[in-house]
Amino acid sequence: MGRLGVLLLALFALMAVGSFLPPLIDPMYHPMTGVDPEITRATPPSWRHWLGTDFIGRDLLSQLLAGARVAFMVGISAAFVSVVIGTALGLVAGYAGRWTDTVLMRLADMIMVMPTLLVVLMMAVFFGQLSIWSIVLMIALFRWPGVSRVIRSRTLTLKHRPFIEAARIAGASHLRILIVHLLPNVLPLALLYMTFRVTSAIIIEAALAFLGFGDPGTVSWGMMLQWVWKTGHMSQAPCWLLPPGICISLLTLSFYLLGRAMDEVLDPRLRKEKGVG
Amino acid sequence: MNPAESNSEHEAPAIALDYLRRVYRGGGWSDLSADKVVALNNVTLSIPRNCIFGLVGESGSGKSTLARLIVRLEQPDRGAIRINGEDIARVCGRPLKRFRRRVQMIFQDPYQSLNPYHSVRRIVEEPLVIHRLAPGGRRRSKIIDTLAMVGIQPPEAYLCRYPHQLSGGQRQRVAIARAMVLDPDILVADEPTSMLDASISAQIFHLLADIQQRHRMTLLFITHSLAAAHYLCDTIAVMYRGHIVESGPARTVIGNPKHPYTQALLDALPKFGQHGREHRFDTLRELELAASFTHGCIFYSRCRRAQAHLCAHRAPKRISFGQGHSAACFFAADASNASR
Repeated sequence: MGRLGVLLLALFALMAVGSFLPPLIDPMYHPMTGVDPEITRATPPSWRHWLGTDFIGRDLLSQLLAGARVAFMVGISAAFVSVVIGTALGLVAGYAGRWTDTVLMRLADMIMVMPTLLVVLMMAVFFGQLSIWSIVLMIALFRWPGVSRVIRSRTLTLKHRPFIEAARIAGASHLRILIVHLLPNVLPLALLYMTFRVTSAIIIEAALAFLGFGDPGTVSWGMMLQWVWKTGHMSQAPCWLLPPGICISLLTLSFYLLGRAMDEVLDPRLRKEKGVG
Repeated sequence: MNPAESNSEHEAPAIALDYLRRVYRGGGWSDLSADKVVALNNVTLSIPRNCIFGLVGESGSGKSTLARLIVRLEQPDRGAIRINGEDIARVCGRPLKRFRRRVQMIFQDPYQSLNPYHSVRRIVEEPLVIHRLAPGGRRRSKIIDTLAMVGIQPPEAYLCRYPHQLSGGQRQRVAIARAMVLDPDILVADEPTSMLDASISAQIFHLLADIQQRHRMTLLFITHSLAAAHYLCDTIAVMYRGHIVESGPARTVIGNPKHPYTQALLDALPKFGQHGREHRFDTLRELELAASFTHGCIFYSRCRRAQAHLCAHRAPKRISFGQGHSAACFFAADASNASR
């Protein structure tokens, strides 16, 4: 299961890295600005354009490759920021307890019940066009509560364990207990949730782009889908519609599989069982 | 009562507890509606330096709470805890950190008391890091010496192991090493062998006795077993429901127990080759009496010797029998007759 996830991820990483190649071969393969001078409409696959072209003659394969890069960037950075926020707040809330816990968790509840996509859509309407980084930031800021809830509950079960009390008796400060003792114990969970957050960030960005609120300066898979739809090629051009759709599904799947596998790799107790069996 | 003051040196006892009280409050919003559990009630105790002091009692008698108060995992609701004469019940900040260096603890469950993500080296090193002791190259040799002292052989081979790669006995030895690496004056051992099997327990007892001898420190040994306390301890205190009911030299308390609860504990010990023999004291009631715990003796409801007109209404004072032996029972003085 983990191997399949890693294999798929490696494939997508290869795509993302490969996205720098086409523009170097010929400027017309630039995903945004490169236009084939001989084509002015959507065309099916050919030797010149392996996946065909879009409505103004841009190469679809180079767009697909660039989309992989954007998906990684959006997914990983949004997930990373949200998991960092969620883990930090979850640890503090669980360890400190009392009113700190109450305040942080009520805040988390308030944010959690907001539908992320809808709120980001309204933000987009309010502020006008959003850049890809503000979309990333917005997703991160709306997706941490789930992480912090899980990390908090894990912290609650950990903080009365004798090894935490032993650290207190040894004279460890609160900060030391949080970072040296609690953090390594919640980290596998945090990383697990990070892979799930990558998935949700990619989906949210794709949905946003598809609805026409994406960053017009970047080629994401969602943007590609939006162009198919806007130009009325939904049923006419399967080579344009299917690749980005399939890529979104497979990339989210591979991060999910990776998350499942990661749990085993990071836990030393599970590592041991593997060594014995 | 001051049984330990007979100590020849005129120094403060290692641990002196004065009217210590700790109450746990259950759910509920106000103090009125909450259920209260009195874990410790007016516990007064004095533990001399350089001895092994045994605290014996059944589950829920408050002995673990006492340990947690002494190492300052919790604070008492009332009373003073003097460590070498200094009250630490409410210290914080720098004095608390200094106190942490002198008093260490070993926990009951060695499977829970070591961080699963830390290697043996890191576990034993941590107290040194926190207190900035033995810097540089001396730190490694200090860790190795401490591991060797607790019987981890060869210590170098275990430095990089993780807790899940150790047996229960080895884990407990590592936990002892973590406590001893700071060279504390006082070591609190809260049922350190109850999760280990009998032969390993005996090894740990030997180790603790040996360490106490070599380091000239005070060992507070908490156990539910009078046999273990008899084997290991110089002085014993017996606890029942948050009260010290009897205390004194180990040999005297076990050879000539005065309090009916201590006698019941002795009756409960299994005896080899003497099955079916009558209980020696037979002080335990089969049916418990309904009792009010506000005024009367704490053991009233289970005591066969109790007399309703006396024990249900007044709490007995501690009666001294000399040599530091004392018991809180109205009939303690004539208890020796009953033992026949």
